[in-house]
Amino acid sequence: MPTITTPGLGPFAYRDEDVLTFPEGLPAFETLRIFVLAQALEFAPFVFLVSLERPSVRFVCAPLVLLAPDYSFELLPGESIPAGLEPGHYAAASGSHLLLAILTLPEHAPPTANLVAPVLIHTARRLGVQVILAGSAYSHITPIHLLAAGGAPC
Amino acid sequence: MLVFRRKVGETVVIDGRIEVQLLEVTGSRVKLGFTAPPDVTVMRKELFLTLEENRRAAEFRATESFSGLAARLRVPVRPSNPKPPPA
Repeated sequence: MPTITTPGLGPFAYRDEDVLTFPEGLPAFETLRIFVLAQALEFAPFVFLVSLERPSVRFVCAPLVLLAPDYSFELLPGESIPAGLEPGHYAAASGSHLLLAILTLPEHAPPTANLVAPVLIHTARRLGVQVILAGSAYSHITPIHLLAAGGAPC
Repeated sequence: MLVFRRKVGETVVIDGRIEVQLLEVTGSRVKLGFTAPPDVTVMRKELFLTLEENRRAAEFRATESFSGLAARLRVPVRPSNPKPPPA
């Protein structure tokens, strides 16, 4: 099984199905298109999106079903739909796709989750997209300690 | 905040070189057109915020407090779900 190492973390063993294509990259990292969904028991429930092309680029993520179980969004026909996605209802709890939040973990500030731009992983297609929601009531810097405690995000 | 009232087809000029034209109004949605020099980046605010946040997120450094945070999140604290704040 191949492994990937990113600074301070790993090596993570991964399977073929953990290799995801992001057709548009991620905002600020548009040129990186292939990411490994890396996981390890010691870091659960966090998972990592590690660039296969540039392993020093990695994101700490958490499943939205854990942070905000009711989280969902609609992609409406006629809106700009990211490549590889169809219009429809996307919920945090689903068998066909996985919704992740990218976390920001500053050294001297509380951790936050970007709930305006969830990462949607279409597991069967091994496809990933960071969906930028317009008019979301959530924040791009939602404190995750509040979510873990069941409070309302800011 | 500076506020203008504009009709469809009318334009606002920013800094003598950026034009914002109101193209269409449909219900609560408006379509805007931007004309700007190549050195001016125009994007939706939510994309801008995510772009900046992704840069910050990618600066993550694995520390002991990170392992502690993972351990805390492993314990579900309450079954209730956080709701978005009222719009």
